[in-house]
Amino acid sequence: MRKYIEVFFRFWVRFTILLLVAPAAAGATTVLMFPNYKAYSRLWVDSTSYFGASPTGWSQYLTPAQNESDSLNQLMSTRAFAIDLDARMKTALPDPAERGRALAAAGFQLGPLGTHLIQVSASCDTPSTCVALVQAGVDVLRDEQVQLEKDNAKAGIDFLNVQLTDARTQQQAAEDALQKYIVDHPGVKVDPAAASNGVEASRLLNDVTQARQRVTSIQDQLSRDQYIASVSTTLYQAGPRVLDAPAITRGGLIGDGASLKKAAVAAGAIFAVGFAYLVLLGWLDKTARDTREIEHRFNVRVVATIPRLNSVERIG
Amino acid sequence: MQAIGVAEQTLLQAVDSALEIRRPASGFVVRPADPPKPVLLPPWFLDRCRQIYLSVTFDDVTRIIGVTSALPEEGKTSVAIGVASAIASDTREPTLLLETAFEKPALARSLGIGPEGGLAEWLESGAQLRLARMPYLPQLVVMPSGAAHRDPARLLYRMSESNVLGQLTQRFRNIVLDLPSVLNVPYSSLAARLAERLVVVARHGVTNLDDLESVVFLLGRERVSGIVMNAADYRTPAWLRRLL
Repeated sequence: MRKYIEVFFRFWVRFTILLLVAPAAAGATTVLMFPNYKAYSRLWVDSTSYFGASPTGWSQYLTPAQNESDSLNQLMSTRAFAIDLDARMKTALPDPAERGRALAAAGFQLGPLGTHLIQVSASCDTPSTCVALVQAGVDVLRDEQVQLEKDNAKAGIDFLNVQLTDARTQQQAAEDALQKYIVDHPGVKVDPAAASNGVEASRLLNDVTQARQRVTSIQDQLSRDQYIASVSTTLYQAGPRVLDAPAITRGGLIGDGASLKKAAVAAGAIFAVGFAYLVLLGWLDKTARDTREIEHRFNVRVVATIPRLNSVERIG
Repeated sequence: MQAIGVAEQTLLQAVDSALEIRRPASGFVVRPADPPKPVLLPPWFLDRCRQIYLSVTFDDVTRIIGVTSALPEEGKTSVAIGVASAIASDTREPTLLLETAFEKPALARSLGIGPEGGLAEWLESGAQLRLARMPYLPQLVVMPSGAAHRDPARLLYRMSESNVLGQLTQRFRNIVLDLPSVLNVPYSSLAARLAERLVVVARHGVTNLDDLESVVFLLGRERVSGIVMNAADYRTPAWLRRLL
């Protein structure tokens, strides 16, 4: 340690440049060459209590903003989102290479700011691109969410419709069987309330009752699902509402700090080179400089340290 | 051996002559024939050299400290002068600074005296030995090795075989040996044996640690009393060094 500090002070001009001036200059140059802007938009998520139902996947223990953020963040991590965003940014950035760079560096962030408020932000090197990116991102997320909800609802309702058709067919078959039995046995009275019906009549009657109950149950479930789907879709279509349109929040040299990170990397790289040079010089220097090192290595005392005589003091 | 015996007599005569306090005749001032150039060492330098000799412990009454280094130009002659000056100044006892680097003498040049009449010539031919007293420190006597010699190993062998140091210890309680550097002089280990305690000079930012390790290994860790970090030029602020 003492050795390397001595090397630093021995070549202090060199190492001041390498370890302090050059990293600072590199950092400053990086900040100036790569400015950074950050745009944001704030969205409002309505409470679901107005509708009496929640969109699929929402937790009752989380706030609307948290639920919505969770859904949107999951969507943002998909490849579909990236593809849709790219498609939507074609107008703002026609050049594919430039668009690709902007999308790669956007660094979309989405998170709740309160119980109902969500903030979406993105970074880029020009303000207009930033605003366009955030706008496109919000639009894509909302569209995808609505589409997903619609797809889910459609799948569920289609399934229930098939079930209902099947149940109705079974009900019709049961009713037909009972009717045939009554026609074939004119003397037999079939009373749904009486307990004295014959065995066969009771069975047929029971089949009819069960089939009707199943149809009714599926119809209820279908109605409920259609309502929930409607509510979810309405919720997603209605909200989250954009309260603050995309705008630049921080701009110029600092931005969201990304330019500072780049500057730190540049400065750190140059510092590392300077430090490696210092270590190399220290390592290559095998001359006697450190009295403690001599004593430790040779187990012999350094009995005196005589400073350098200047030319006037020198003998001879 | 006979030759050496005769030489020892001339050696002691020369030493006695050097140590003799000459009273000037009335109206005259004694002026040494070849006085060394005054060496102005800064006080802080002497303080650091004082640290060196005070850190070294001796078994005997006589102190014989050898100053050496891994390679030349690391400052061992300066440190030897400093240590000898500090000892002479502090103890007020006769102190000898003896140079044994015969292949590349530096002491005479450092003190601004001529190369002739040095230890090498005396060992080789028994020539008159010239000793120099340091100005302002009359108890410090300098014995340079003389002119560069072609066969320094033989000279040093003769010196180690004779009782030169034993004779000198009769006159000097403190002897500082400016030894040759260890790694580039083949007879350095022989020279190092002359000293009771050894101090190795390492030049800050110049001496290689591996070389220093070799020196400590060659001299023997138990004989090396300490390492002197010479020409230290720390760039780390002092307050930070204290923290580390």
